[in-house]
Amino acid sequence: MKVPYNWLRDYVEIELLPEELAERLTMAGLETGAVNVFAPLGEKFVAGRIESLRQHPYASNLQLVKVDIGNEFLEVVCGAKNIKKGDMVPVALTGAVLPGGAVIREAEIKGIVSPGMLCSGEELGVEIAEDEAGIMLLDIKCSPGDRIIDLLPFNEPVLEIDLTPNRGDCLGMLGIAREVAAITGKKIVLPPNEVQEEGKEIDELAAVEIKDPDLCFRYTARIMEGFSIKPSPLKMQFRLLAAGIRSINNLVDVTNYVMWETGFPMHAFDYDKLAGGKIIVRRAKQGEELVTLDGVKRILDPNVLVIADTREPVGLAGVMGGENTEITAETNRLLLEVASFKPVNIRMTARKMNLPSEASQRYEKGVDPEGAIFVQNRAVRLINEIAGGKILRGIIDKYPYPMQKREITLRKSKVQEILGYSLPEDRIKEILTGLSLVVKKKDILEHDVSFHVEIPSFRNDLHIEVDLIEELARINGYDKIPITLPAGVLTSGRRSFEQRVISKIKETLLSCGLQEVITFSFINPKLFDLLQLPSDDIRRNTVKLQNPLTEDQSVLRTTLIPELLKLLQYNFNHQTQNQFIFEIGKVFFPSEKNKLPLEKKFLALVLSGKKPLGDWQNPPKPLSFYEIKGILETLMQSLGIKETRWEEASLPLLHPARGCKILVQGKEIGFAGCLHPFLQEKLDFKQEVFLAELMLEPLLEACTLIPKFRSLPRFPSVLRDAAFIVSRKVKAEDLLQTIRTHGGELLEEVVLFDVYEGKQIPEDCLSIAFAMTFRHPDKTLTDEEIDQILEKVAIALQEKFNATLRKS
Amino acid sequence: MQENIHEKIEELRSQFQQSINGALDLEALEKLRIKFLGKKGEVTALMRTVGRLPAEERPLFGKLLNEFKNAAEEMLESRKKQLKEKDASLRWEKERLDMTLPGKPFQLGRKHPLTLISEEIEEIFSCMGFQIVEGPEVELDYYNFEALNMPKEHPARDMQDSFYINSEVLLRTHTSPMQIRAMEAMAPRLPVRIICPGKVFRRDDDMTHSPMFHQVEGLVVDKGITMADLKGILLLFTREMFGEGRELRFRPSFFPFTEPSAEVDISCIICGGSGCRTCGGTGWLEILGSGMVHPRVLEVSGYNPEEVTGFAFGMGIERIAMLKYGIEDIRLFYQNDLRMLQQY
Ligand SMILES: [Zn+2]
Repeated sequence: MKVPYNWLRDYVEIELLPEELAERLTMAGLETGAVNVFAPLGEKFVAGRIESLRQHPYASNLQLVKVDIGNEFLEVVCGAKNIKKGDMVPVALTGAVLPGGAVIREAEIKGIVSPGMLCSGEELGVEIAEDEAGIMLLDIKCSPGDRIIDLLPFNEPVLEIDLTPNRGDCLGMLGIAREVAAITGKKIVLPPNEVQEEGKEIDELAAVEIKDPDLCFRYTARIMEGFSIKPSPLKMQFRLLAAGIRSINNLVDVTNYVMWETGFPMHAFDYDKLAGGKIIVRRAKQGEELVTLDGVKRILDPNVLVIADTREPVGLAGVMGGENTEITAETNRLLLEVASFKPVNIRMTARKMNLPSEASQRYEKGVDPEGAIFVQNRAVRLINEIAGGKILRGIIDKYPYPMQKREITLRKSKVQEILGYSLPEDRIKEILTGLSLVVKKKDILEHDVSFHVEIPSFRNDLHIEVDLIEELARINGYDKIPITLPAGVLTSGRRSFEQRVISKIKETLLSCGLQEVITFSFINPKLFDLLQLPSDDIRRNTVKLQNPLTEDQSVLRTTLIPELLKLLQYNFNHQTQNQFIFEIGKVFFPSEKNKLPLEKKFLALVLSGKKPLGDWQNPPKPLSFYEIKGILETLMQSLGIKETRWEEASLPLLHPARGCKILVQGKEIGFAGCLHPFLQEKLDFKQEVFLAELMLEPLLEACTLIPKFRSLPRFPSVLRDAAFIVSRKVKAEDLLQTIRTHGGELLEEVVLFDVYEGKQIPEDCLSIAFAMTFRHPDKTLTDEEIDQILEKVAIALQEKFNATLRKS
Repeated sequence: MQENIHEKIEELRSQFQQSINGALDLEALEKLRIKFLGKKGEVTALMRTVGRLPAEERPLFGKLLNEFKNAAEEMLESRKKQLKEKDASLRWEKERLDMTLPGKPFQLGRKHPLTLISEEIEEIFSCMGFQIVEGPEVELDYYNFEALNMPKEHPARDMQDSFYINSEVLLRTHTSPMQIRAMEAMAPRLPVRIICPGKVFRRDDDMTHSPMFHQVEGLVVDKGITMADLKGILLLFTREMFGEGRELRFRPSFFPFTEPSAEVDISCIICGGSGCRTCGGTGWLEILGSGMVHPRVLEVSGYNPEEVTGFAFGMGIERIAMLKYGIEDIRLFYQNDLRMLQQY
């Protein structure tokens, strides 16, 4: 809301500079900045009185105009036709700088030297409603030579106020004035609204009927006749312009001016176009039509409240008038509507019709029905002042359910309880009264005092005790609230088990050199097609957004992988070839039982590139699957998860022969593998990509953050290496399992440390070497004892896998 | 005879002296040792001749020979040390490394900058006894709006254009629903002292708005909680987060679920309050919204507003990250350009 500073001074005395006032309002909850809306005008613009006009000798469309600028006469060349002898006009003297940047110089125009220029509004940078872009006529009291900046508010400071949605009352300057009054301790001055009625009684001409009083709280009407429509006085035009409203003509300008003043929108109908001279406020009929003032034909329904005459709708209540009853140059009589409608209904209609306006914006916040008569009178009085005409006798006022006065009880103790400091009774009263609230009664209680406060009708945001406490706090200043810390018992802020495990997961992955990323929770469902997920894949069953911004963000993700692959693509395109990333985030599945979808935390890893990087001793080699597996194993280890299995499987997204399910304690928790070569090609990845995705929940269940202490061994261990030649079809994990089983309790650890193919090994075979650590808790093992175990192991491997011990 | 003894030993000594000076490496030195002090060496040989001496001369001879032996061992030891050092310094030179060659790189991953900020906030509040809770990203209209004093058609809903799943379910537009959920879970126990970090969603996409972003909500409910306590906690927090010298400014504002409500500004972290481009010349940066929990919100969550009071606050993590890191486009956080992420 734009509030011209000097206009505001009509309603309240202000001793503060605009910047100071802005600061005070801001600190009272009305976020305010002070700006200048007009281009600054220098001192070289003065008022001039036109003394004479004569034809330019060499140009038929120009005149030579002699103007009195106080201390001298100038004869300037001018092309405008709207001026005559005696008019006061703005004159730009040589050296003046126009708001557009042009400098006025003594210039020769068609052979005649012009020592200055008469100015139009446009040339002065203001969009005023003048006759066909002619010279601006100064309709204010002034003398030749007066500086224009002293006459017109070119330097008018304007307060720009960003209102919170609860303060509909401040959408009028009077509301702001009340705030200023409360802050500075001044009184507000209401604008004059006494009217001089004459002529016929309004009842003889018009009637109003409210058919839907649930949507229209009050409707008032007055009729005027015999006014003349023309541009408004410059002073009014400038005020409106400063407030950001275009000046149209004196009638429209008054309705806008009074709306700005009071926060109350209004609408003028051409009375003679109202069929039956009657206003009916009703719901529209299904399919009823109305062409609104913007020329658009609207199809209506019963949710829309219309203003109608006896024949048809003539306006959308609170939103926009109809073309059929529009005021025109020929209008002779007008009916002025000042009404109060149900905010929600206006809001819905304005939205549905896509017609947000200054008026609907105010109705949406609620317009005080109690103020209607004041506003009605104020408006017709102003029309009468600037457009002449008669205000007919009487006022129609339909107000089916007058508002009840509201009272709130405010306890002094509660002020302290909420704000943490006590306000003296006098100060409480002073603040409330300053805000035009009425302190009606004071009760002295045993340990307390309570006030009965009557809430004025325009403050529809005040309902309960704390609302009043906020008023006290903000007018007194939030800076007066002391600074303390909560008393009471100590609480523990320790992180939950889940939070600690997730921290550990992140730390482990970071130590493995992975970069954390965060992607959007919503994705494009087309990615599932791109990634060739089977049609019955559970991940295709998504939660869909009703109103996404784009298709790229239209369903909630069921997997983290697609966005990570997109991210990979983005970074490849930006010359990052080595990408080691992970994300922990939620995925969403529709729930049959609940209204809310299932939200599950997932962990995904995507790796691509070479390793090691920047190591001059070891040249980088392309990653293999065992890189991502190694990271996951490290993760399991750091979480103290023991039973992890990697079960070969042909899975969507993955290379058919290079993918596996991950099982923890026998439960499937995710997958890992190489991206399917076809997908790699499709996504235009030049190198292999490795990915894994795991559910977090089972990890949390299996995880032990602090493992039990095992006492340190007292006897030395014995290390033995053994290599076996086995068929390539045999799985390493099976070999390991067999070795563990047959190694028995004395086998402390077995590590696969070499896989060899080549010389001395049959082609369909591999040599796989294991390092085995043996230890007895109570004695030192002898070579014989170990040989025995090794033999058992070798026999088992031989029987199960036809493996032969490789003699070294 | 005595001279004879002396002569012999003196001869041995000078012989030894010459040899030791001539021993240029450890090997020669060892040979020397064997020659003089070994089992079959000169000293032993001399010792054998002792029997031929008259009985009264024997002790003196033995003594002198022992003295020589000890002196010789000492000289050998010192010469050995000398030679070893010389030897080693030659070897060290051969083993010289270029200490300026780069070390073996260990790749360390980094957290996303938003995680860093979020964790910093969490840690500060955690140390003040706030429990960290999390809530659903997809939320019921009831928790997101209704219970927070924003019934259907409430104009305040316009402030947060939402992504809907259906008429009752939406992506949460703020972390405030967790106020209700946390209180419901706790009531009637006291005190409630939580923060809730998480993702939130609004239909907005430009330099300063992302359709998904992060917030942290805070809530304290107990007997006797005041707005002064809110000021105290937030002052403590901002000084931890932004440094000791920071000042706070509380401005009256409006949120449907707090009353009184306050917008909180921090003295500009760029210019310190003198006014700059970041703070728009005001010297203040808006960083969070806060207020006293609205009595109706307490009531629907199971607490009696006549018995307990509370405060709540909420802040945008991106906003803080942008201020701290000097990032001007919020969308950078979600572009995940590794060149950017690896700066943190
Ligand atoms: Zn600054």
